[in-house]
Amino acid sequence: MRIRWVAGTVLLSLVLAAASFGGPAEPDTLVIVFPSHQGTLDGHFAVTTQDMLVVRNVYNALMKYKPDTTELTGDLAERWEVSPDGLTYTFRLRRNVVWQKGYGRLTAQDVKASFDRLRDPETKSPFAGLLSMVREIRVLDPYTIRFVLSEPYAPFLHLLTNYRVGPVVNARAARERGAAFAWDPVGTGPYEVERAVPRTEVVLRAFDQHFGGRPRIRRIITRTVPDLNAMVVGLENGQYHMLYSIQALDESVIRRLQQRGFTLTLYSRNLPRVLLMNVTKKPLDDLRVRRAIAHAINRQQIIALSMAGYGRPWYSPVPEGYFAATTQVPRYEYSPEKARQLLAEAGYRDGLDLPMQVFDVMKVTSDVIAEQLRRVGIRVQQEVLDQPTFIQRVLRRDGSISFAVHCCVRQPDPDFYLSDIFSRSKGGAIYISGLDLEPELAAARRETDVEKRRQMYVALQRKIMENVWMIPLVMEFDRNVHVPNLRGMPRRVEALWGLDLSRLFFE
Amino acid sequence: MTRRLLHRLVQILPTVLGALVIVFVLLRVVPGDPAAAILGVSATPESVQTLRAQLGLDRPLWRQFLDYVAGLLRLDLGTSLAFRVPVARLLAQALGPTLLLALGGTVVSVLIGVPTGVVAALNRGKPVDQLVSVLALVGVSLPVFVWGVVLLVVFTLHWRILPASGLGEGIGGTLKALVLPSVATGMFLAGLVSRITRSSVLGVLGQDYVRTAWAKGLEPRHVFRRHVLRNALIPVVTVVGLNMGTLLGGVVVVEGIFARPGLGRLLLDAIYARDYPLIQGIVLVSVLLTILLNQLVDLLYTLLDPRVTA
Repeated sequence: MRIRWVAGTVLLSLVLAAASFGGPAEPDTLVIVFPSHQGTLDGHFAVTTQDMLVVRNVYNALMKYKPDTTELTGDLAERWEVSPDGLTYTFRLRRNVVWQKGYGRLTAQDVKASFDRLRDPETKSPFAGLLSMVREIRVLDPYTIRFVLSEPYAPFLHLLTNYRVGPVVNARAARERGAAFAWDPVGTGPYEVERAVPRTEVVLRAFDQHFGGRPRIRRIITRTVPDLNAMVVGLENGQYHMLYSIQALDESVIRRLQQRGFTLTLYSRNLPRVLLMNVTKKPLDDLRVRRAIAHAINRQQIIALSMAGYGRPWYSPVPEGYFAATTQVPRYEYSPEKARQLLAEAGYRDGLDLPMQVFDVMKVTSDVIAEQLRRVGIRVQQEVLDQPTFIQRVLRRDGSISFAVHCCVRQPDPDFYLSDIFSRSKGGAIYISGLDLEPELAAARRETDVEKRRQMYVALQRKIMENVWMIPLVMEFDRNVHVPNLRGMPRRVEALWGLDLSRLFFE
Repeated sequence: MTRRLLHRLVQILPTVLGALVIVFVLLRVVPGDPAAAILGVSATPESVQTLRAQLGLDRPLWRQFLDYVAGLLRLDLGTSLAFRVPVARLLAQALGPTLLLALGGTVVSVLIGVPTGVVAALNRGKPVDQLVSVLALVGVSLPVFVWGVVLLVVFTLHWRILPASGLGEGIGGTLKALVLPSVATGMFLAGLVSRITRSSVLGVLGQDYVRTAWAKGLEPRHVFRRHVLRNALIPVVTVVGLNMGTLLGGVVVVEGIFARPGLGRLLLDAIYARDYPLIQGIVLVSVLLTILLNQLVDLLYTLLDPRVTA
């Protein structure tokens, strides 16, 4: 009996010793984790930042942004020309581009096939409409491709970056693989998909024939870990190397991780948080009420209480980092007295009731704003909605979403962003204002003179702020916590969703 | 036996169909559109319309239901809206980890509950008995997520002997990754099993046949094993069997904490994405699982207690 006990104890301690848990097996593997799951790796369907983390690295596009800037440069395109009338865009392609998984060399025909696939109604890409201004795509020779537009479209080059319509996918592989392409894609990027398990993980392998040279990190695993505690613990015990884009991580947790030697990397994604409202409905159709709300907002407090301090106050309609962003707009400084006075002038001496719809991820920010408004006599009734419901209601255009903190990331050109918010015909899930500034926006969209175009947006921004048709709140920083020996992270700005993983390396 | 099985099957069908109808209708009454969920903030009215048509959501409800049932008869559970892969594939991926965890939780509850219950019964009224009572109360009272977090902090942060999350690789890795979630899942049931075992053993110890066995001078160990434990375990099997359902509920939470891609997390993801076919598939599997478990408990009964006829 006793012998059995001893043997059992010895065995148990052996098992536990064998089980003592080290870090990841090989040093050239990077494990990135995030709480939400990926929906698809097909570049023509990807929407979330987790999708884009893979898409950005599996595919290339014609254009890209220089690292840490919002300045356009060529990706697959070596050179490009725009005709003076702004209707013709001609791209000379690199000649040394190879497709992953044995699909041969990339030619202009392949690039055309990718755009044709995106625009084909059969493909049913949600982004097909974004290319409505393209009249035709012509292959001039194996390495030259030309886009002919039906009207000038100033931000066209931004559309051709690795986002939504820009990723150049292998149309033949997409045809051959059918539905499987979503999890087994083929591009020309620095990493290829080795294995993908929907909802769990995607394993990327460095693609050695990439024209930009061999990526330094050989394997990258992106994994969904839905629980924040598990994520933090996994980082601390060496299972993971990076908590990617974790906006929900508490300040105290981040500080503790920093004390333990992990690095916090902050950069801007040009991601604003704004207060959107339907300015055609009572009581928000009254400019005095809108100004009162603007004076009641304390941005520093919003940053401190709802973003763990990682943000900057922002006052202009066009986000910081975009073309034509300006600080030269009317500002409404924080002043509860002014807010109350304006409300009294508008006839709300006893305050007013204001329904607010809360997109669930904006709950904390919405709480802070509701409290700030309560102090000047605006009684906010919150209605919390999850994403499918919130977006469905915005798209119904029935005014049931009339006052909400909301936002979006787009390529850094004001047209995309302002059209989302103020164009009745172009706006989508962000269109809450009920206004239609399409005439002004269309004029700026068609303007080929860069400086003139900038002036147009600056003037438009002034007009928006004079009328308080929206209230910009803050620019939010993206927060990533990772092992200290990881280098190559963005320092200042990352203009698209996702990350350029080929810049990362272990020191 | 065969007749009884057939009888059971006839009973199962309406249950499954009823559950399906309820879920089908409820899902479509809940606000929120799968297409809007998939497209997120990049949605436009046109793109949502296109996607709805593509997903077949624009057809009348009765058509959708009939198509779904017709698919089921062909053993086709449909395609997930959010992931664009067959629902069957997602279920197959998720079912393993979940069943493993439910099994692990059950094993933990029996391994902890039965011995402590027996020890408490044999030491009735002594300090050991009281200690077991208190521990059982703690086990039953602490919510699953508290267990999860406590275990994480102790075993992966301080001692670093077990992984924090995931399924692990290989048999060793899988078992290692199973330990903590199983303990977290099984703790409340362990408390219950301990209490039931204790009272059940006490009840059996007072029976005439046990006294006869002692009187015959049989070896105590033999008496305990053959006469006491076997009879005392019958109610324990019932409790464990009936609580497997509750256990599956706890699994949802534990899978979140330990990042195990199982059925529970799949359901949460599916609901948040309004992924109708996927939710329906999970409900279907859960209903079938529950029915199966009940059958299994019945079967165990007959094995443990010859007095119950099949």
